[in-house]
Amino acid sequence: MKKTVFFLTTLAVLTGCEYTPMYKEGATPQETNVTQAQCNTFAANTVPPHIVTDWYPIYGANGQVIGSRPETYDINEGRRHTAVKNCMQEQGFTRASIPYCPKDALETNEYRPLPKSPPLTDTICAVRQSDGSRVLIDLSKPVN
Amino acid sequence: MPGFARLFVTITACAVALTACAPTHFSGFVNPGTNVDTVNRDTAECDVEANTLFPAAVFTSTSYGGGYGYSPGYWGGWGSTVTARDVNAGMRNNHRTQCMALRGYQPYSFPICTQEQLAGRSYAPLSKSPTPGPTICVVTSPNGNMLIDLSKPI
Repeated sequence: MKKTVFFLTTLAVLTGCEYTPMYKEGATPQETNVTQAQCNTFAANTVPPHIVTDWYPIYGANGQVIGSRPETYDINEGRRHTAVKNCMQEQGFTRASIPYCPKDALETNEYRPLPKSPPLTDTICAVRQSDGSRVLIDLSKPVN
Repeated sequence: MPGFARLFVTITACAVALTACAPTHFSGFVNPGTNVDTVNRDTAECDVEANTLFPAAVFTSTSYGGGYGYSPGYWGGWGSTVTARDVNAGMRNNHRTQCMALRGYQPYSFPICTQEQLAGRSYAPLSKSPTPGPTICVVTSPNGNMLIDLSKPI
């Protein structure tokens, strides 16, 4: 139990520290969004939902099967996400890990969102926006 | 409870539920002084552009409620729900807003005129995009929506 909690906590921390988009150097946010959307549509059309129901046994207190319960899911869910990733890769995008910017850096200086995806260096980091999207900034280029 | 009283309670409950769900605002764009035909044309062009660049893409996601464990009387798991949503909807809406912004429009949520406000009077649809104010509201109908100015009945 403790190991599980530790693992989940670690996973949450790791997930929170890194932004992991499909990335292409030189692409504008608009180009990235349009490619993402077109790949989403391609994947949705080529790998449509295929809903299946599995039945699992329900065991009584004495260990005997006393019934069954359904579990419904889309068998194509994973394949659809893979199709998006492959589509993006064909357009020159690869998965990148970009750290989120430290809060203190954002409090002391102001930065402009970068208009194009830059080469990933130690000074490039991501900022979460209020609408859930992210922008990239270069910590070596404050506005003020 | 007598039959008619039960019926009355049911109808009242339904009316309250329907009123609670009815939209009270209409999301549109405003650029004061622009001719309505121009607004409609710009809106249609931005819609087409947004729909072309960000077409619908329905993705499912399965959530497993509960889990697996001992529930009074049996061991087992319970509950999974498959939901579907258009994963491009957010990007499409953002693009539409940006497209309209480039043409000088700001998104605006107009109130829908209430029957009390209309009070049986007639109004002509506005011919130009208005400056938002307390007298501007939207009349909805199956044939389309129109903006009116409550301070200018016919």
